[in-house]
Amino acid sequence: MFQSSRRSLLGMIAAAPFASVPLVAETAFAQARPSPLQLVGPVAQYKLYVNENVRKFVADTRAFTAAVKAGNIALAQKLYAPTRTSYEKIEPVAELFSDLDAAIDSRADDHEKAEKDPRFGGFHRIEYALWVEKSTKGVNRVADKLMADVLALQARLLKLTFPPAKVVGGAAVLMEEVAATKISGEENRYSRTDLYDFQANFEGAYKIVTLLRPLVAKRDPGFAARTEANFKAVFDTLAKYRLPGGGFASYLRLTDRDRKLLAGKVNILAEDLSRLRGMLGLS
Amino acid sequence: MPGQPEESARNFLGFRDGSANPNSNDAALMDRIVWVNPGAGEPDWATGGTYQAVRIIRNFVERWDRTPLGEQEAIMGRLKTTGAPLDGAGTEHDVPDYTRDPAGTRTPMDAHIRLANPRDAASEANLILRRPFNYSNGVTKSGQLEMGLLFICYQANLEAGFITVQKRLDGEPLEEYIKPIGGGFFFTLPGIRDDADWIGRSLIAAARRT
Repeated sequence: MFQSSRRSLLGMIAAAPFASVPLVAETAFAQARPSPLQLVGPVAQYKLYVNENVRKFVADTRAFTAAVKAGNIALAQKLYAPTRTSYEKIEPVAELFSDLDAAIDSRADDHEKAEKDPRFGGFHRIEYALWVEKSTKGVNRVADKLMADVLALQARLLKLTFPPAKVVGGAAVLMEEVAATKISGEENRYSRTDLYDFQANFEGAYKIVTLLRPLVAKRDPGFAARTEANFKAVFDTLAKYRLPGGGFASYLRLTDRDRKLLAGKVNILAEDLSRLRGMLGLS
Repeated sequence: MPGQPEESARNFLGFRDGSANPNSNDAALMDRIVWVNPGAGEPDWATGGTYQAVRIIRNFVERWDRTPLGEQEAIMGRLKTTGAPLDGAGTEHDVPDYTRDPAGTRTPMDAHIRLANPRDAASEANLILRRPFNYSNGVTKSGQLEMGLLFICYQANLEAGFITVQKRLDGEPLEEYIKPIGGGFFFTLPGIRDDADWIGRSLIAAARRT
């Protein structure tokens, strides 16, 4: 849909008298170009959103790691995916601290010896213990380390001055990550709880888009409607997999058709949202 | 152009790759950086050989291509068009002067080329000779392009060369756009010196003696 509308817009410009084209384009550009000050409000609001999520993340991780350390596998399995969602929502800023991101959220294939690698820790190591090893015996220290890392993340985020380019770019980053390394179901490969992460990633991106919408509307009125429709499509698709008691069905239940639909929409969103930085003068 | 060094090929991130490579025609330099010398603590048969580090590094090209040009250049530390370092407007062969940019105003402190080679006295010991190739291998499970760089480098000492450089790069902003998916460390045997020589002669001779 987006492709064809862009093409027709190009067609219109090409058909217009040559001399008038740059004049029109420049005038529109000058009027709508946001000053850097306009970003202060959205960035401050985003910081509140991040603080709120990281607070919940700390509380949820505390309950999750306590269940792991108590050897309560059923409870830990139940808490695993919901605990991760607050992290997945704020991933664009959380992963500014690459050491903590690696410690909290790295996957087995990020490590030389995969699951057997002593440096493989964090959520996915515990996920492996809960679903594959079916024992928490080997992960007591991993749980302690995870809790410490999550607290460190909270401390660092509270002190962080949010770079506007990272906040604005964050909407696209979330889509890029889903498109490149999540849509295939490789993130939560033991628990198959990937749909929780998708929902959280989309919500995190949608939050940024919502905060920026007033600024963007002046630059590109069609943008808001188009991204709104694409977000609606991904949220509606995921909603089909919601469970009556809350949460989402297994990734294995996702049909090929829906997976392809999600992948397509996510790539269009990644493409569209990547333009936010340029539109807001941050490129 | 005659009298000028060759232009480096572009990788799949669209940047020139290999710009600051040491000159492989400089025999003394190659002796220091690439070739295992006698007395380096290696067995005799290794003299004249070199260590090869290989990494298959997938590039997330879709994501990279959607990243603004200015950000790409800040991540790399070079201009995309010419390959010139960010503190000059010349060619890819210009040498950046970080002593005049201690706070990273022109070239960010975490730019790829600045971390890889900070160009201080100590990092002279960590030079490597790169011989990379681009690779393209269909699409990934997620339906994105499976392409990137077959990174290859040579050095007399792996610890001083590739491993030290890689540790400096750990956590660099470029990491969000790349993923190493394979590789290894290898030893390249000394080359053939004359008609009577053959590949592996020194190694086989050493093995026969034991």
